Amino acid sequence: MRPWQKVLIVAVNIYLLLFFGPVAGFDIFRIIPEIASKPSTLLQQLLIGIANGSIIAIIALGYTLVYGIIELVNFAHGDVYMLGAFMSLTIIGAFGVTAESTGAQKIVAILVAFLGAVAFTATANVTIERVAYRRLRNAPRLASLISAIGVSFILQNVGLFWGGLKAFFPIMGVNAAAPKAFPELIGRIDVFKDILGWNVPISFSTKDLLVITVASSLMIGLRLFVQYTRLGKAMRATAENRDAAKIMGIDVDRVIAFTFLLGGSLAGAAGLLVGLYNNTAVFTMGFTAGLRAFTSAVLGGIGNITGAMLGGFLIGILAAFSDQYFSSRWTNAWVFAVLVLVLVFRPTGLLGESIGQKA
Amino acid sequence: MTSKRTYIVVSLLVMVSIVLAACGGGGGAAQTGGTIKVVSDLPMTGSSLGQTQTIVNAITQAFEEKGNKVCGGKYTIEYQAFDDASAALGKWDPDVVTQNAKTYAADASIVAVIGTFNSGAAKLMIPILNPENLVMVSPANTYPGLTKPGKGEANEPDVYYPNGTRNYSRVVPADDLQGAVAAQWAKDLGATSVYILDDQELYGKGVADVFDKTAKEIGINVLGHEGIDGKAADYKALATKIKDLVPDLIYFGGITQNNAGQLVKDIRNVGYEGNFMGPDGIFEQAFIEAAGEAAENVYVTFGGIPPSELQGAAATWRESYKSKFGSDPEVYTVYGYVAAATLINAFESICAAGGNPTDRKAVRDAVFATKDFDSILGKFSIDANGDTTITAMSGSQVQGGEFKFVTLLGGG
Amino acid sequence: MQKLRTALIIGATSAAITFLFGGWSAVVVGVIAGAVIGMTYGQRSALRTPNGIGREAVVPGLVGGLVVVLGGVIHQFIVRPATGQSPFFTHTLRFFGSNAQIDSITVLIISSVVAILAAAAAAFLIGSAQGLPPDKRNRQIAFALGGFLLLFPFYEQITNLNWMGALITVQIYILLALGLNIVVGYAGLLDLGYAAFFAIGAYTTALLNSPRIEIQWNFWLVIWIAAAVAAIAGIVLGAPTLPLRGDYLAIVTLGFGEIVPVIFRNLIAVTIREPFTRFCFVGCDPAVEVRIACLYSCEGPLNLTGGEAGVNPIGRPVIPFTPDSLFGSSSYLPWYFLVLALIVFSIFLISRLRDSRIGRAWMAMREDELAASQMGIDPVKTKLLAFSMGATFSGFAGAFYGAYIAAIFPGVFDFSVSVIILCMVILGGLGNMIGVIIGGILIMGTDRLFLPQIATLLKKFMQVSVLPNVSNEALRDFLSTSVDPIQMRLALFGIVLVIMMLVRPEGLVPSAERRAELHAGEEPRGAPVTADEPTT
Repeated sequence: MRPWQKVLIVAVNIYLLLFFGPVAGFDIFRIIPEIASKPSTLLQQLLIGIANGSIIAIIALGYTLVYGIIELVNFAHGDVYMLGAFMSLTIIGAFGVTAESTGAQKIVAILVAFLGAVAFTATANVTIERVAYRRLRNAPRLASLISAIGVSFILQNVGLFWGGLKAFFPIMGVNAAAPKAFPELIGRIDVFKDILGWNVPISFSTKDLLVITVASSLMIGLRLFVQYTRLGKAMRATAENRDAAKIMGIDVDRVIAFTFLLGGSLAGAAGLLVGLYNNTAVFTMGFTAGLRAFTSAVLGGIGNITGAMLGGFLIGILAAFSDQYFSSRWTNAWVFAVLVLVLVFRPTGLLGESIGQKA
Repeated sequence: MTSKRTYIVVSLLVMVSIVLAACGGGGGAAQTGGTIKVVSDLPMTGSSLGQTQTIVNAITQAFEEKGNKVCGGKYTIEYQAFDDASAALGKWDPDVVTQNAKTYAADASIVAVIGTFNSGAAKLMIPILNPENLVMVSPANTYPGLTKPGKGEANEPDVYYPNGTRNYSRVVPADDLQGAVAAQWAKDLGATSVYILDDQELYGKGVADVFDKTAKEIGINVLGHEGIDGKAADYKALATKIKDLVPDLIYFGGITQNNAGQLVKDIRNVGYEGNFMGPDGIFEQAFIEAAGEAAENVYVTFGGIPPSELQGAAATWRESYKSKFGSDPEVYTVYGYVAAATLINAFESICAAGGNPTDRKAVRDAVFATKDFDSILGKFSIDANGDTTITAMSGSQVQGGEFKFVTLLGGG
Repeated sequence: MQKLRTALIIGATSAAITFLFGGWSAVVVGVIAGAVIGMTYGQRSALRTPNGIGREAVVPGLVGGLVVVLGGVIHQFIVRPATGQSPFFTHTLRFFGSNAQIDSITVLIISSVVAILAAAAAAFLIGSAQGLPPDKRNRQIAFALGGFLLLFPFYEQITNLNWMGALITVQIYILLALGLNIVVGYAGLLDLGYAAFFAIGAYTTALLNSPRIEIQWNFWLVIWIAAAVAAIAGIVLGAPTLPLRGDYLAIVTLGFGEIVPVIFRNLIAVTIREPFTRFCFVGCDPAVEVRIACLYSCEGPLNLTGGEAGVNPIGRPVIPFTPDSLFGSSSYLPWYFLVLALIVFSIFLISRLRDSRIGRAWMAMREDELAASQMGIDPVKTKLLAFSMGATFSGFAGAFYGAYIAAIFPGVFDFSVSVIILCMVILGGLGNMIGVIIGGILIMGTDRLFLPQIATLLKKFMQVSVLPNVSNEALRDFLSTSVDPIQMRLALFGIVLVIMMLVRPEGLVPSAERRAELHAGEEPRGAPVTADEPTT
């Protein structure tokens, strides 16, 4: 395409956006004055978007890891994350801690829940790989995709069943399908007002700080791990060329199993984190979160760890802005519209693929 | 050519055998008789299950209390629960509803359908069952246009009744009452401005739209009306937006399953301190459990008297349900029980008049003739449109982790 | 015995259906099992004469039929009592208005005998066809299949089998899967948002044939418009995906799949103003501004799609010289034949497309885009054509669906629908129409027929045979409240998907090329019936 053609296309699209945008809440004649009249809201929504984006990003890391290594869109990943949330809820319920418990009790409960959830989801993920994906590794790629979808259905049903076990876990509540409440274990203290003593119209709680910190450190840790450790190098080699890696003496099966272990652990951690952050777990949460996370992984450049993080932030911020300034009825459409737009201009995502680029 | 001959012979053989199979033994055995088949049509796959399972329980309970017999033991009630959801969609599926409706229409032993759960499903099922004179008693549809002229679209409700006779009734009050009553209550609570949310589903949006309209009529300032994605992880962004507008009250039209609990939590988390009100879709224990402390002081409207407030028979029912099924009934459970009871009442009245309760027309007419039926929700009749005459609404508030009855609203 | 192993396996697989449904289902299942046995043995046979092969297939056919019937017998005398139903009851036969009663034992005997004979006959018929030259063979199989498809609905109606509703759904999804197969199977473009085109087709039909915006055109016209609109949508939505490959393309199509239902759900208050005239400078009159700027629905916002309430009712097809109620809600038959005709028409059209220049271009591009473009294939045109042709058939499906259900709701076109259709295509065998059809039957049949039946039977089994025998009260309580087979449907569905994929990773009936790729070096045994033409 020639440059002037590109310019023309962009111009036409902008015109169309101004034309039809208002139908979907995008009305710059309303939005610009709104932003101008209260700029602090913009900042506030930015913070909310980043916090939400962090959670999406942690789940997206799991997608990206698995995709990078075996090019499988692991549809079941979101549901593994859901099981992580259920496991931590079960453990916290067993400890009987509530918002009123002492700090030590809470810390112990959270630690045990963390270990339990991570161990559980890591085992689950490795088992899933062993049972449902390994045999399909040399089959057509789409076969394992369908297998993953099947596993996703099964796990959702497991979540539903788990939620109905009120006889054993009273914390699951009366209704199997209903959202379950996580006890409020981490206080919601405003960082700006209550800790730093600034008098700003923006709230930023300790919870937000927690998720952003955890997500960023996980990302950096993962990045370093893949870059510098022996196992990380083996992962990259396997991603680059499985056969060559095998010849070089890398136990490919073990590396892939390890990747799933890592992905599962991340999902478990994310499950606990979301439980503590949003205080809700429901058996359908994995599917929706998975979709968003997968989207952000692709947006950032699938297989790229930093990209997944960036994609998560972008989607989180976009959704927050859409809720505030456009219309929350259209938020989903806007998120995907921007995704399409980004991919049209950057066909391999924002940062491109970094772990092995295959057609 | 031998193959051609054999081909013809074999094809003939196949055809003959199929026809034989079809026609074979046309001899008629005697009608078994004495069995009244009632089915329920509810989504039993996916997230509505929490409600529908308890409705099925309540229906079973209602029939079992009579020993599954009516008319002094002359007729046995056979009850079967159909699922109108598909695994593929994970919720009610239009073509499963259509398929079920045709199944009921074709099975002459079915004389009544308890359902549907979703008003959209009712829109599809009524026109199919109407020409068959098969009566429907819905425990959960609240879309006004199904029965009431002038409340829905221009051609509603007549478009659903091709043979001109009503066959659809409901024991739950429609949204037009609930939304309007809720708006009035909001005003009585001192709200001068509201922000309205809905879960973008037929029920939630319907009741929110009525609230919206009524609120404007009675002079409440509507600051905005938005839809939420019932599957989103959180609503902090939206809650922040609403908080900045400082409405006196936030109204949410929707159900617990569409994340009402998370919505309330986030609204409280961002520091909103006004009131929050919802319809009977969140009038259930699961909502309080999901919302936790944030549920405190939430206002809820409900058609009829809440089971917990009822005395005598209703209180007994609640206890017996709890002991039988090990959990508290959900919001629509009681309507499932009442729907079944209405049918039993209809069967009995047919027998009392010397009629035949296995006749669909008779059952339909008997249901529509329901008059001053003494149910656990109080005395009610079914009017000519098929609506329950219970128009009493009650307002409750969450206090100390429980719904506490506050006031009677509107109606009479 | 060794020779009969395949027949036993096929019979046993089919017997699962009679095991669940019993009674009259045996005949239908027998015919299908017989045909499959005939096909398998016919292709294996060392003989040359059609009659010889046919005769060879008869005994396996009989054996298969016997196994199928055994399933029915087990259903009647073991499954029914175990689920609290008596094995002795009366069936109702329906002869277009008049009913007849028949007792279950008679039914069992008649259906068993007929099923065994029919299985043998079908095995002979299909088996002997394998010995004929290809064109005659195909004709014979087509005749047999046609006869079966024409007779089946009448049989179903008379015997009150109650499969027809599920079958029509299966057919709608087959139509969708055939369309998706063009995009994914032939052109190799992974599309995760195919339901968008289904929605576009359905909404086009709904808006053009309903009181919604007061346009009520004839269904027979609207169905073509719906297909055309879907085709155009295919081009419009396909255009941005052109630079993308692999999973990036998949995620963009997924995005469209998410956007389109949101649009249909929310177009309930449409007013469109021209944007630039709204830059209102000093001294302009707002009223004048509105008059100039407003282009569409200026009187008040337009409720185009009805939102969550959907469009209802949608007009139904009418055929001249027949009663208007022909396509009503009372009978399945006209709908069955209409959608069958649509499928046959689509298969014809798609097979012509596949064998044409365009079809070969698709497959060349699927194999190697770079090489294909070097050979003079225009990738832009070829890809867009694939999207738009694929969308066309979902337009047909959408139009039919709208008219059949007589109402549409935005919630029907979820991501899960796209996924299910994709599952059919992949499970059946990418790029092979026969495979796609079988995949559609298996997946939707599982969802609509078998799972509800399994769940219902299991639940009754629990109530009748398990719960009373559990002495531990706590355990019984737990089992009765928490373990509900009806709630396990999703898991059963997932298990079916996983197992099918593990057993047949290349799909049930892989296309010739795919088979060649996967079994490089192996000599393919016997060509598939309507194998796709090798392209290179």
